[in-house]
Amino acid sequence: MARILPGEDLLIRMQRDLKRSLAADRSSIKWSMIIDLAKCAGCHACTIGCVAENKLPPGVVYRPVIEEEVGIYPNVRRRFLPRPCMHCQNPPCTKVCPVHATYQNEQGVVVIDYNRCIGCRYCLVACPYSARTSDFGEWYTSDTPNPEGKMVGRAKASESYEAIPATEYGKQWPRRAHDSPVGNARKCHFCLHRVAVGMLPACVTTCVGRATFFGNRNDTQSLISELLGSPRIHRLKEELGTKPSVYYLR
Amino acid sequence: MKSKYFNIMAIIAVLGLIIGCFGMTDRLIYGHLHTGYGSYMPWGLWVVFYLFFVGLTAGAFLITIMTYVFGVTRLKNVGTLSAFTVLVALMCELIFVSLDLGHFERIYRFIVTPNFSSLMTWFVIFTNLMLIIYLLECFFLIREKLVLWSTENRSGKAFYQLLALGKTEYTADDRDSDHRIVRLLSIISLPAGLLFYGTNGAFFAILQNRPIWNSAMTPLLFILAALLSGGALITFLISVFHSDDEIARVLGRAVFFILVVFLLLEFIQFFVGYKTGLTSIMTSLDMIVNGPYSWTFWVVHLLVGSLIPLFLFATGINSPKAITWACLLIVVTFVSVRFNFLIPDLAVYKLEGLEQTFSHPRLRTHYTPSVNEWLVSVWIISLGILVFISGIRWLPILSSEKGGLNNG
Amino acid sequence: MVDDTPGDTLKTVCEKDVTRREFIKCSALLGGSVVAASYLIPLMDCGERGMVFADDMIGNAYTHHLPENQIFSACQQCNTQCGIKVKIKDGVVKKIDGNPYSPWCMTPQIPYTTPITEAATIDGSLCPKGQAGIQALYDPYRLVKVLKRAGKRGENKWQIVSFEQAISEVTAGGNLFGEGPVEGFKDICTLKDSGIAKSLSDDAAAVAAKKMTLDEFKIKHAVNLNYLIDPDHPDMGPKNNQLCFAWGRLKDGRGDILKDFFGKSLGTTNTHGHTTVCQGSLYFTGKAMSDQFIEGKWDGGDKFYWQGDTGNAEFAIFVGSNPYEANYGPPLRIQKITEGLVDGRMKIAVVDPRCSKTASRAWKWLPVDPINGVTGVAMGMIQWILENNRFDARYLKNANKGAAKADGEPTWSQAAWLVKIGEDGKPGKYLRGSDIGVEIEKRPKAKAEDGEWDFDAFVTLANGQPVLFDPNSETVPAEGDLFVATEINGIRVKSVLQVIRETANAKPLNEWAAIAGINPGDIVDIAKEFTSHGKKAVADVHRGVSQQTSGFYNVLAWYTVNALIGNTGWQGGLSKLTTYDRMGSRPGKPFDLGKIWKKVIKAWGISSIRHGVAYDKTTLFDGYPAKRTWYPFCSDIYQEIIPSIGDQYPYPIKALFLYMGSPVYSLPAGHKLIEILSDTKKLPLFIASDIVIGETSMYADYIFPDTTYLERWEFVGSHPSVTPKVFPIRQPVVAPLTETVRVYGAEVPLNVEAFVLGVAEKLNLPGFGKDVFGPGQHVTREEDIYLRMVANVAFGDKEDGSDKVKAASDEELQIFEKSRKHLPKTVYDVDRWKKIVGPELWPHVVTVLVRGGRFQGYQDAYKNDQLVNQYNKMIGIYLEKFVTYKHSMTGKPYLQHADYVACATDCTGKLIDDKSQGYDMSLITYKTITQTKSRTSGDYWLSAVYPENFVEISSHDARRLELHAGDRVKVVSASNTDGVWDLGFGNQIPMIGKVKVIEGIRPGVVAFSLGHGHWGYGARPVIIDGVTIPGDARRGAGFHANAAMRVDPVLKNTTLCDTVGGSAVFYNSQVKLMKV
Ligand SMILES: Nc1nc2c(c(=O)[nH]1)N[C@H]1C(S)=C(S)[C@@H](COP(=O)(O)OP(=O)(O)OC[C@H]3O[C@@H](n4cnc5c(=O)[nH]c(N)nc54)[C@H](O)[C@@H]3O)O[C@H]1N2
Ligand SMILES: Nc1nc2c(c(=O)[nH]1)N[C@H]1C(S)=C(S)[C@@H](COP(=O)(O)OP(=O)(O)OC[C@H]3O[C@@H](n4cnc5c(=O)[nH]c(N)nc54)[C@H](O)[C@@H]3O)O[C@H]1N2
Ligand code: SF4
Ligand code: SF4
Ligand code: SF4
Ligand code: SF4
Ligand code: SF4
Ligand SMILES: [Mo]
Repeated sequence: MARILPGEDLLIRMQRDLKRSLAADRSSIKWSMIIDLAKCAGCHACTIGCVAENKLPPGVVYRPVIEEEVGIYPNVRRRFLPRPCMHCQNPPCTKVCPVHATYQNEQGVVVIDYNRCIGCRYCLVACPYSARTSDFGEWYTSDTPNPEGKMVGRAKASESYEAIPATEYGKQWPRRAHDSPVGNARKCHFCLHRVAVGMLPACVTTCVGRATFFGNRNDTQSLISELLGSPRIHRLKEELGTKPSVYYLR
Repeated sequence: MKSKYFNIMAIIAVLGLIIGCFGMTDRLIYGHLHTGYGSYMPWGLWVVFYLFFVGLTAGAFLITIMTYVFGVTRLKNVGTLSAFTVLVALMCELIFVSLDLGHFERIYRFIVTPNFSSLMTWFVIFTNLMLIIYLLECFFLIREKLVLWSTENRSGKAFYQLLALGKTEYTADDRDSDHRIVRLLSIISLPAGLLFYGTNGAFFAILQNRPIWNSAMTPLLFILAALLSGGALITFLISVFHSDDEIARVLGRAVFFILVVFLLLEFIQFFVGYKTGLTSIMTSLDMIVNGPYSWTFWVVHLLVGSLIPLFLFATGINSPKAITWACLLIVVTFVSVRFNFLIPDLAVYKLEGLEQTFSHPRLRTHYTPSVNEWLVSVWIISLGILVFISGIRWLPILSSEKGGLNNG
Repeated sequence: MVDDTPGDTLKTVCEKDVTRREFIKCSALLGGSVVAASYLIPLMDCGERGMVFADDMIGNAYTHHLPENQIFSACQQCNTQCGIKVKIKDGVVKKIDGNPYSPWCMTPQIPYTTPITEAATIDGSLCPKGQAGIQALYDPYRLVKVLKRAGKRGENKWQIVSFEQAISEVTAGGNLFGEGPVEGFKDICTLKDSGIAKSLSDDAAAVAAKKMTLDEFKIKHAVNLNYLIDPDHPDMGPKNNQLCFAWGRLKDGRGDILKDFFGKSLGTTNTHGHTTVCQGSLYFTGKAMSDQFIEGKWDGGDKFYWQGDTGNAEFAIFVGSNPYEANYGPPLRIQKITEGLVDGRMKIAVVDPRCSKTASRAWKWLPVDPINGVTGVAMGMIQWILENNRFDARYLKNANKGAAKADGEPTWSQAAWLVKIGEDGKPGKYLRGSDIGVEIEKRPKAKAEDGEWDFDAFVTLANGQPVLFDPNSETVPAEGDLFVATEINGIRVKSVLQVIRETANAKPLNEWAAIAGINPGDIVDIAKEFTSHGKKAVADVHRGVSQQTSGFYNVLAWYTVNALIGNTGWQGGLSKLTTYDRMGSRPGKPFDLGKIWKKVIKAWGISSIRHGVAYDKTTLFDGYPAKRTWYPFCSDIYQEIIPSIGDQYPYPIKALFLYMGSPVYSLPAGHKLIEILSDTKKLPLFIASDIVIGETSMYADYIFPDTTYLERWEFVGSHPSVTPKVFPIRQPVVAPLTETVRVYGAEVPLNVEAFVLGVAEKLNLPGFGKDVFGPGQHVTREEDIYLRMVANVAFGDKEDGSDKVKAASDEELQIFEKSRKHLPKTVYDVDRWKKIVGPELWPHVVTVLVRGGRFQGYQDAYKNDQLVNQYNKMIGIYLEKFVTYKHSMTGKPYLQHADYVACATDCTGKLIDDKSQGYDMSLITYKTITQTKSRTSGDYWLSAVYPENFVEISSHDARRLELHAGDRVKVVSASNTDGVWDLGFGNQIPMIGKVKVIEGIRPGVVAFSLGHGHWGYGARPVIIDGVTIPGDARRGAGFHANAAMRVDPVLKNTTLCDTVGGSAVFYNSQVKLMKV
């Protein structure tokens, strides 16, 4: 029997869903993510894609992928668990922030206002998923040489992929010694700067396993709300009552 | 204070300040770049010291309790010293906390956008409350002497005039009202202190993702820990500076008692913790008794900081010397208690395998304080010592009026 | 100071003597206020929210979604070469994402007609290496100027020299290093006259074929003998052959320029690629299997291979193939598998000693023994399928094209053909018409002027009757019986399938399973599943299969498994790659690029790696074994290039130009090359083109810095699993970081093209310079070639131009220019570019360039359950040609069909038994998703994910060897008992790695991943112009155990090798782990 070829990539469908939500009443948007663990290939593209998109310095990571081996030879398999911020609907992290620098926005995204954050790291301690990392102002290139004229050198390298401003929250964040986001808590923000222009988050588009889904869970036509009806759906550490907006498919 | 001791202490403190300067400079230029903590271990030595100093402020609190709750009136003599100790300890604590912030310059945010559901906000409020209470208390306790000194012909007269706020005469009415104010402040300090130490405990206790902290016992433990370390400190100071054996004995007994209760509570914590059978709690506890820093628990805290003092108390509860030593040991080793409170719970993975997924020293749960963290700590502590001994030397701390309990 | 007013209650409390009860009251009160406050909190919170919550926190600094900030190109962080969309700001690469037009990055990709403005907001996927490409471009250790060695080879002391000086020196030669005279290109490449070349070459062939004596030759060519390497062996060819061009990763476009430059302008036959280090035997089995019967000969096989149509297969067996971590490649294949698995379309099985990430998603993981495991499974499957009648008989019966056509089958095989059985009972050549008295037919050749050829029909047996047929006849279909063992006219014959069946039945199934080291039931299970999906099942093989001493036959066995269900050319079966034509030789195409080479000499002579010729048909024949192996059936035998230079066999090489390869690091037993490369007597001149000082280029005399994949052109071709017809393009994305140099009077970036142009200018070589394509049409810059190729592709492959892409809209033309405004004139100038292709074609060229290539729609690649771009020829499962060749080391004919050939053997076919010497572990290697061989070692983002590799062993072995996770062990083997890399100058690097104990590996096997343990590439200090440039420890983290791989005991300076398919052998070495 002839196989019916897919008419479009899931990314296209999700992007259409996204644009539809943006065009409609924005206050009804609740951005959510679903990660299908059966599809995740453990490739770490999302991790690096996110690092590249947000120009994250050493030690700062928004979406690591945890690898695990299960079973005993020869009945062995490996499992992979990508872990962005869960964008908890009942987030322990925002409650502890003494200065309201981090909060849940209208669309359910837990954001950080870098210009407000005092860098107390209380939220890091409070997050049950270790989803927050602090920017201590480090540089990937700091230990590299700068033999001017002989090689490309540190100066060129660091200025080209580290000092270059990231555009988190749609703002320029040039990396300088003390300025934000150095000294701040940082975490996944669902790539709101991309979403704002009708694009899917970077980890979603780069997901080679098509294991990551994004969309408005309040839009019943969306792929994401379709998937939310799956019996495979679950959330991490549900018992803590954090109510993540990031769901997993077993 | 004998000037010989003063000089020795001053030299040590100044040396400490000089050495610590390197750390401070680095901290101010490079921020947190050269610190040993990270993101999975977000707090380190500075927070340990903050906790330590929070505890040390509780000496005055203990004295207030002893005086007002247990009616030990004799303690009024040491009111000024304890109030001043609180001030210095709070100062150190605040410096530690501020330097631990990634954006120190934004503390005004606490006023602009305070989040009252955050215990850190309450912590800031109560710390400031304590600061105000004890600043005032101190002031009213020494006001009489200040006024006196500002009129006497002694060096630094202008300084005392400034501190006396230009007041040149001190009447009986003044004394009366000062006493009343001091009494009022002391009484306020009781609930305020309780809340302050309780908040500090709650600060950790509300974190449901932290196995040991997330327990109703934590605030209680915090209050006790504060009483123990603060009590030991004040007892030590009193016996050194006031040489009042009687008070030392009274306080010694109290500290002895608190120590026993504290150890009992600690035992219960371990006992219950291991009984729960929850991996997270057990790993945390294992970290304490079996982790890389378990020596701080066994040797520093239990042996030097508890058993030896217990022995000293038990054998020499009437010997001021034994009490002084016991208290000194408790105070000094208390850093390890704070360390063992803070670090192991942070060091327990919240997601198994996370440490292996993205490699960076900041993304590890193993923590070794960096040289810089130590240097900064040395600086702050030295500063504290310097301020303390200077206060003792140049302010009427030891010789001031005995506080507002004349008619008590 | 205390204000009494606010605290009336307090005051009253305080006025009185405070009793204990009151104290409690007091604190309760305060406590209560906290409680009260906590009720207030939510209220305060709300206030806060209103203030900060709208998405007005999102600013508009993000501009990567605008088409004018993007250039579409192709990744080269690994050889998958995915389409990329490079986002640029202020002339700097800010982010790399997947090109949505590219079938690599989306399934299906967006329609080609989608306007670029829309595509700008759609990102496709990339793997982590692709994401990190920015760091390969801006690598602090990248070279920007030409380096010349200032010390001994390999001492890592360098001086910077000008491009002009470097070009003069390598062309003119002289006492370049103060070590005596060195011949330059001009001294080596002396033969330039095409007439002389042709007559020398023709007569040398005649001498080799013994049609002319050597004396006759010498007399006839007396004046020209000085052009030859050795007049006593004229078939070695001209001295030009003593210049060798070797490359690692080279793709079209650039490949065309480089190969033509060396092969045609400089006239050396020694242009060798790296295929055999990669998956050589896979390619060369493909080449042998695709040989067709052409005018009486077996010929025309393509160097290619098949892969599964991942997106449509219902069952796939991945054998030594790892699409989740490596292969071609993650973005291209993973999505198709994951969606297939989750949608229930697909099931996969994995045959691999290691539980790879792919195996982690498999229905069945067969942890085979690395030695002989893959053939064990294949033979077992063939047996089961044949014995249980699970093969596609209808397909296999088709003996020729006509029969296949009648069945709607794109391919056919020789399954039903009859072969003659020799005295020894062994099958030999095909039974032919002439054997049974049918006359040979004279047929005109395709080119009538070439005369006639003899057609001697092949024979199959239908219903007991011999049927004579022409394999290529479309009009006379021939079908035959599949299992025949009989005599015809007294000649013992068997059908091919019968031969294969008997081979597969040589051992019972449980013995095959035992050889493979798995349960027989597992073989049955996968065979059953494999034959339960019609044509939509496929066995997809890669390096784990090919890089063994029996690689050729392993691959042949697995392709035979595929042939049993005839899945080639079918949707969900085996597919092949198809690209648009760039060369333009077809009628109607705008630019015929072959035209440039009409006048030049054709390189000739025995190649330095002795490929493509039969040893016994040369003047070098000197009995068996030969001094080194000869390779009649393959080419690009990477592991032979340098060792042959070391042995000066068949002749000495005077200069080596190495492009983008690092044989020392990448080859098994690569350490053996160091000695040869360091020897200036054996290799007088060694030039490398590299982007850094690598593990191999550190031994060079000159390093010419190159532009990276983000600064240059290349046409990256395709992979067999890409079913649409494509032509992805790599093009300059940012200004090159290398210095600007001058060639033919123009400023160009320093890169390998500049080297070529520089030498061509200096030596006035044909094929380059002014007016090459006609008056005013020069080849003086790289894009003179590249843009013409793009134009050919834009035009399409139909003579009438009906296949031309749509012209770019005005908007797209503007975007094209805007997005390139940061590019310097050295690489881009719109008017210059426009002039090259002409104003008419320009908008079409732009359409292709802005999309990063040309891509056929996914839907258009399938029709009626079949592939549109299909392989539709005969599939050779019985390689008659092989029995007519003699193996240079044994003198025996080559085996011609799938069979079990035991590993590991030396080049004479003798089994190597290191196990009995106590080397108790089999060493294997694999690729991890975050690393390539060399180029990712400076990608610090990637090293965060996987900073070092491990000595991976099973818990079973850990217990046996008393090893624990984290222990450091040294890997030693019989041919490297010290377990070290000896770099020379007292530098030794022990192969010491940290143990990782896992369940997912077969006991007795030790695995390590590729890409760590560097010592070049910035890992260690180098000195340039007297300044020490320190190394970066992160780049040297982990270990690299290629030096533990077995050295061939006969040849002694190279790895074990598949002497048939040419593969370098990575999985047949036995090692010992020594705790340190
Ligand atoms: N242990 C182990 N070894 C392996 C493998 C394995 O799986 N395990 N895999 C093998 C395989 S599949 C292959 S294909 C081979 C590959 O082996 P090689 O073809 O030798 O390729 P690389 O090692 O990638 O060497 C690339 C060199 O080119 C340089 N380079 C990078 N980019 C550029 C550029 O743009 N221009 C120029 N001029 N130079 C550049 C790099 O610096 C490096 O020196 O390795 C093989 N080696
Ligand atoms: N990440 C990454 N991807 C790459 C590359 C890269 O360098 N890095 N390079 C590209 C290139 S050049 C190539 S050629 C392809 C190669 O692509 P693949 O051949 O698919 O990948 P490899 O990892 O080299 O080897 C495949 C598998 O063979 C297994 N294997 C090892 N020994 C044996 C054995 O004895 N028997 C069997 N059955 N299996 C065995 C390994 O465990 C591994 O899982 O990858 C391409 N993609
Ligand atoms: S995952 Fe952590 S950081 Fe994210 S919302 Fe939940 S608690 Fe906050
Ligand atoms: S680190 Fe910043 S965001 Fe986190 S709690 Fe502190 S101020 Fe709030
Ligand atoms: S949504 Fe964006 S910020 Fe969050 S993990 Fe994905 S790429 Fe990173
Ligand atoms: S990119 Fe997708 S498949 Fe890869 S690790 Fe992340 S979630 Fe898994
Ligand atoms: S697989 Fe990854 S590294 Fe290889 S070409 Fe594709 S994106 Fe680049
Ligand atoms: Mo390869």
